[in-house]
Amino acid sequence: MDVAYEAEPVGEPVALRFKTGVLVAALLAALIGLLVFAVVNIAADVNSGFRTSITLNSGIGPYSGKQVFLIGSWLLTWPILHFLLRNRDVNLRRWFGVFLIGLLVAVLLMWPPVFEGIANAITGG
Amino acid sequence: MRIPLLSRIRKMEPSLATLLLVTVGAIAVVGLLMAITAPTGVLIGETQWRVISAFHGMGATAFLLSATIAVYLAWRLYAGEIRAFKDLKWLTAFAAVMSGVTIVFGTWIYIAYRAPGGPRTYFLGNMPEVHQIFFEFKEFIAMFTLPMFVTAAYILWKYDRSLLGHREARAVPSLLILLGYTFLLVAYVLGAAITKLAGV
Repeated sequence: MDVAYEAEPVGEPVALRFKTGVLVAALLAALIGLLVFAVVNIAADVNSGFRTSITLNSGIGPYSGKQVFLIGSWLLTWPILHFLLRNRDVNLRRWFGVFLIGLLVAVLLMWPPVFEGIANAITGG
Repeated sequence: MRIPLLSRIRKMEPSLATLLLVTVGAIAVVGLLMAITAPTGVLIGETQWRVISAFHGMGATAFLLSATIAVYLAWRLYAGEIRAFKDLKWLTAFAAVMSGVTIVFGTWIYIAYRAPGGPRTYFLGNMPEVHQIFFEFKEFIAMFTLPMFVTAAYILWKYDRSLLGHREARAVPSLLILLGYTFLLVAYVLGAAITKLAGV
């Protein structure tokens, strides 16, 4: 286990095996998936027709479609972003900041009082 | 009188593989006997939903255990003092798999939760805020663990030890694991509390 050894200071930096674009592509794809998840959740609250259309399993209800949207958008955008960014070295600090802010937005949009409030504001309910 | 066979066995050095085989075999036999004879229905319930619920809970617990060790190693990675980098890679990959397994069983058990007369009916009739706020948030936030751990595992395996010399690059998987662990804790605690109030 890690504690069985004395700490070994990190040595001279070696080059990353891949450009930082590969890393950022993975981050942004995950973020897009989660934001799509949040938006689809609100859309299902706003529009009953949409809610019915994403009910892929009657037992699970609209949650089944929301999961498919999350996984689908995440895994679909990942190879696209990977292809676009794989040869680029991008500012890791900036893009990780974007990821963290986006993640915070996604979490807030998933908090029921927030997404129900947005849905009510849209429908005027 | 000397019995040659016993003498030979006594002189044999048992290999680790033999010991492992014997131990696993003994556990399997004892486990089988217990599974056949124990009144497990009393423990987990008689319906198929109780069994699926048990798998969901066990999956979540295995996920929690692996993620707890991973988050400690992720801190060591972040601080630039990790030695067990290989352990972190495997633990993060295992946690990502367990996240997927727990979500699958959680989605499956959700059918029983939503069924007429199920826990959702009970909560909406007696404690509507438990379903409308806590359960809904739990089912959503649990999904956040999968992209966190899958992305962290991907980065650790893809970049491997080349991450170690780059403070910003190694901070990314470290913080992803920490975030995933936070989402897991929220879902785990809410799940345990809701199950205590009304199980399937």
